[in-house]
Amino acid sequence: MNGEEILRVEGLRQYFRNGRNWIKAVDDVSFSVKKGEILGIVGESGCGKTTTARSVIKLYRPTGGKVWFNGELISAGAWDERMAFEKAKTDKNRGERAKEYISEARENYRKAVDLSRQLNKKYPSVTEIQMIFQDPMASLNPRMTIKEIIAEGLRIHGEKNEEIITAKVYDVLKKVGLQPDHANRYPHEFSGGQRQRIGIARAIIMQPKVIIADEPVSALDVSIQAQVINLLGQLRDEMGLTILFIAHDLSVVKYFSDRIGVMYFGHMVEMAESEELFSHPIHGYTKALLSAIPLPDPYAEKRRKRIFYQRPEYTPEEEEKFALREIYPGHFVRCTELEEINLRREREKD
Amino acid sequence: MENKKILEVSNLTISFKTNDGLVHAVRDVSFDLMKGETLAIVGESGSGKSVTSRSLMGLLTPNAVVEGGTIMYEGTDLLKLREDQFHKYRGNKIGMVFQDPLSCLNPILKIGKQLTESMLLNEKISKADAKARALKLLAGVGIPDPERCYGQYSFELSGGMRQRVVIAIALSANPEILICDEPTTALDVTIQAQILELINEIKRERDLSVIFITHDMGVVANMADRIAVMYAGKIVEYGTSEEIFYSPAHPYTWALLASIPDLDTHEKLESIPGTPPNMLFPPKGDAFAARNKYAIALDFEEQPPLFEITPTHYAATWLLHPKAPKVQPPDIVLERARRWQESEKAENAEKSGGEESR
Repeated sequence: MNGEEILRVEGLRQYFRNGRNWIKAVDDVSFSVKKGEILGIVGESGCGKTTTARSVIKLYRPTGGKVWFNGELISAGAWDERMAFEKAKTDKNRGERAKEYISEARENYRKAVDLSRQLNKKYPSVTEIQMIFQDPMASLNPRMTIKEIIAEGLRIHGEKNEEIITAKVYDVLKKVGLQPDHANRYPHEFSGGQRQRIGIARAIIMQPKVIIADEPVSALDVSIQAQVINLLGQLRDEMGLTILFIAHDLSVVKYFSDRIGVMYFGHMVEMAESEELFSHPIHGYTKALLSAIPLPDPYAEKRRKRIFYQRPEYTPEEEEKFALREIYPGHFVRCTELEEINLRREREKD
Repeated sequence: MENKKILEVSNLTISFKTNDGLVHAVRDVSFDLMKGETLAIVGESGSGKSVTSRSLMGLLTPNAVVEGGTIMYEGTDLLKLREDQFHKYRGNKIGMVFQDPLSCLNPILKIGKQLTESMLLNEKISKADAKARALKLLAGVGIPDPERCYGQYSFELSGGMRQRVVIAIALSANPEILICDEPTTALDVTIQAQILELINEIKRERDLSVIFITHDMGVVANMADRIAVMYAGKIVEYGTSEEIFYSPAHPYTWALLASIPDLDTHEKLESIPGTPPNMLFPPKGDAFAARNKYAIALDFEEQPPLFEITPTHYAATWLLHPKAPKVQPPDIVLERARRWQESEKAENAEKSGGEESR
């Protein structure tokens, strides 16, 4: 790890329209990933971890916030500008220069939308970020052979030389622990673990720098999970990959990740190095999550205290006071300024 | 726990007819269930654990062939019952909780209707009484507003709530035995912990015997009194939960335990190479031999019998034969056992220390 930042997400918002309401799937999430690092993202289902991943890889157009990859802005939304414009329209104390004020806001909003569109045209997809999906059966087309599936990305990006394609496919098949003669078979002929290997092969054939693994092992048997995790770890070392590892199984995440971010109801509520997060969890939800991990140890398990976390209700005004704040070097928690001081004091005592 | 057997499965063998031939799903499985205990059956997909549990409920698919064995419950062999006779047992004596709570609830019927359906069908009670009982059941499984839930559809509930409803339905006829087939696999960790807690509570309250089927060793630790580990249609090891976790004897159990990362594991995970055997052609010797790094030549030739280690602990591996080479289980397993002994010692010392000071 050389500390160079490869992916940066700032204030990412992904809202979905549901009738008149907005569903805030991802609400103001920021993080950055260093080169060669494995960042784990955990949280319950519906907390927005998969949506975050899909926005980063441009499967959605973000509602707000910005994403940088390798120092380049790859996608941007216009939510903040839009809100500023709405506010300008309804603001009571806008004074004499009201018209200018509004038109300025409108201009800003328009610019932001333009930028968002341009970026979408400029980078319709980012081949250097690849994704591995959760369910290997659902994500492989049953009517395509393994070779067609793996080579599809190459073909889309203009590779026409059949020999090069074949050589590359065989090469990645070997890398993920499959045989070249598997290339002409169909997905149903493979077991769950092998299918996930095919998913990985499809991702790495594009020579990506970042891999987003969205619950790559949750659909697999325990004995196979370890194989896939070890394979991902090995590929990271060989190819210098950076991995965004999304999962709900905390013991796997702890084992595999350098840093972990915990998401809850669309927010990033806590983020720290894995060791730090597990030894000093601060946010109530993280504590509840850690206390719920099943341990393969009856003695410890029977003496364990489970912590329950009730989601507190806040008004939108109160909600605004919350932000991700650094409590301890490298350890961020979503809290208010008031809480921050107390939490810091407590953390230092430990 | 009284040591009374309430269910006795012996030499159960089940195969499935397919176009390619017979798939040997369950091969010569025997176990007993004691009154008030939780027996966990652990194994990966395709190991035959679900087929075993379904045969207890008489829910095998039409292409299943029971090749032998008996399931004795209250003096009757469940396998020999006709479908109309089975009604007396299914649901009433043996209840079942399925894996995916969404697919086993009817989406176009209200929860209340699904709960009272069997009561109204099997017992002579009025609708009002049935509703009262249903509400009580819903409250009993920890649903905060039973009245409201009664009139809702399954899609209006969250995953955890749905699973609670399924448990309520399974309990509606007061069964003696509850079979839970991977009840938490589709749920989040925090919800999973709540559901496991609920099952433990209900078991205590109603003095149920539970058969708990899962592939996750971690889930089992808090639940099981005894554990049976299944692989390729056979029980390869069974014993009390302490014996399985702290002194496992079968290489497959070792591998299972070693492949789950503990919270303080750092070394490379010990994965099990290869995949489970194709049960169309079950291997001649020990089914796990091909993936087993400790396998000896005999493992490929002949199936090992169940060796007795202690009166409660059995394992089917040739490694236990007096003439077999001595091998050590993987470090992670030994480490866990060592930690357990230490903490137990510490607790005992604390206890005796506390008594002395008094």
